[in-house]
Amino acid sequence: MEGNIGIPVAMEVDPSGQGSLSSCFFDPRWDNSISMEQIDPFDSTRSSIVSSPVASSLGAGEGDGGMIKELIGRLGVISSGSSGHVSPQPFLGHMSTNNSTNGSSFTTPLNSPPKLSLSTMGHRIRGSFPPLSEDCLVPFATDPGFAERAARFSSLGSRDFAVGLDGKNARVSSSIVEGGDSWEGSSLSEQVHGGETGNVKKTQHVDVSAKKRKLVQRGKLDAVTPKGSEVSGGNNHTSTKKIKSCQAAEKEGSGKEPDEREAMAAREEKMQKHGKDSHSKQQEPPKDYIHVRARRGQATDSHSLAERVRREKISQRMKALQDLVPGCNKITGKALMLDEIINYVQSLQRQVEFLSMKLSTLNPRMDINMEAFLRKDIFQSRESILPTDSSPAHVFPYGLLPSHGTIAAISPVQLPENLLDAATTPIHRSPTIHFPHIEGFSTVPSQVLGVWEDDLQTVVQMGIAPNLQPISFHLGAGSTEPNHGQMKVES
Amino acid sequence: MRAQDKIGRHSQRIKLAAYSSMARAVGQRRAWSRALMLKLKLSDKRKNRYRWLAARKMKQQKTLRRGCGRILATKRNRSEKGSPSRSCSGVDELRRLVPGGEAMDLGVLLEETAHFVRCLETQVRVMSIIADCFP
Repeated sequence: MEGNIGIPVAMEVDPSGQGSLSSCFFDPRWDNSISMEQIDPFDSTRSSIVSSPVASSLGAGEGDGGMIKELIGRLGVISSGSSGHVSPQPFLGHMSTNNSTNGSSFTTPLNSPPKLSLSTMGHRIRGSFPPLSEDCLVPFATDPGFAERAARFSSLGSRDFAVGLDGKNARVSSSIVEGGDSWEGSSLSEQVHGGETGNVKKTQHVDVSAKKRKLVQRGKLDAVTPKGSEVSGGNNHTSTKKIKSCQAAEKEGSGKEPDEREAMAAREEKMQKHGKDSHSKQQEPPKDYIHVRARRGQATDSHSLAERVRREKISQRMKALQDLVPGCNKITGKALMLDEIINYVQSLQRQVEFLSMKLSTLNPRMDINMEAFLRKDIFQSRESILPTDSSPAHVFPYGLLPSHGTIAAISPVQLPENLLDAATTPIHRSPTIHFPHIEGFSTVPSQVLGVWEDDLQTVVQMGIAPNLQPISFHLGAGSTEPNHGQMKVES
Repeated sequence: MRAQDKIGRHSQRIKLAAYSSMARAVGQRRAWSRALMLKLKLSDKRKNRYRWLAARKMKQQKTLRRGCGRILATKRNRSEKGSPSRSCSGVDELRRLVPGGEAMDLGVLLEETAHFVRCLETQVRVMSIIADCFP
């Protein structure tokens, strides 16, 4: 039996040889041996913690859901006694769906008493313990010896139970056999390191990152040893954070740390909001598919999952649109939001039309061929380079001449320069505009004028500009300049 | 009357120029910009068919027509079979507003709408600056 393989090693290493603990570990009738009345609170939690992995190993399958539920209920009661805000009820419902994950990856039970049960149950329940504060660790922090032993047991358990793990098992077992002295010393240093790198935003979930992945399991194994010592170090409120950071530091080699941290942070935010086991989507670089967690009380078939993913995507986009459209903060609901967006788009289009009318009245009437040049802009697929020098700007006023040839009473050459400057500088310097295509837009006014610029350039080249004749436009059309009517956007 | 018509046509041309420059600035990166450019090309082609400039570029237009025909056919197919479920009337209205919105999923449609709204805002800002520059 798997449990029997691990247990003798534990017995050797255990110096104090606490009979109760080992007997609990051995005892297949673990639930009978544990009772709240016999043992003091700490021992009960300890034994329950230690034996729950045994329970999972000793054939915990579909049938043991009841025992495990009871255990978690007890843990919840204990932790609620200490922290005062835990309800084990939400977790029980989840367990019924997790029987298949029993005996899978198993991590240290020392993170917190609820986490122990999580580790036995598998991945999903772990997420259900966010409402528990780090105060749960306080009772454990005071017993360094227990912590050490429990960590060893847990690592043993993971060695035995996490059959899927590769390679690291031997290392873990060897580290256990080495003895605890060096362990504690190294763990203290690691603890310090963990404390330095501790992030405030990380709270409970050390093991939250996808349990299905062997890499994570390997990382957990790596972090088993320092975890126990950290708890034994006696940190109270930040212990979980330090554990997490230490584990994260341990995982640095795997290179998945930032992704996991982000995923964990995102998940924690969500869970802190909902307070339930609602994991957000997970996206890991090594795998191509998206892990989606089924929320509590929801269907888990692929269709509804995909539907939920789609709905979440749409709600995300709606939120983004809400930020764009002014005055939409108070509006809730898709229909009203959509109406608001439609109104805004229509108002913007009306503004464009109004401004185009304003511009048409400001500018003198263009010759009909200018329209052809504008169309040419659309026909051409290439785009011309915006001339940076001011020489085309000089010919700009000529482009505005009406067909009868009189020099329009437009402001002199300085106008187009001001125009370009005014049009480009606000856009360039404006910090509020953060569009990806902004460099393209900076040339929009120049593009509008660019058509004239190109043709007027040809006009200048042909030496007709001084005459200021409308024929210049025709000439511009008729010329076969290579850059005729090309537009290019500066990038 | 004629002046007003002229002004109307002039403003229409300026509006088209604004939209086409907006679409060109975005390029092929967005679905709405591609759809908008295609729409402007097609409408232009139809209007200019008998213009003297169009006559000059008949060859280019022929190639364009062939290409546009292919593109039109594929677009029609896409909209026919890929027309997503119309949840409510607001979505239909949005599809009409955003160029190319007929053949998009709701998620894609919302994303394109966000980008389109930002581009429209920029366009309005640019045009108001241009209008302010003139005395």
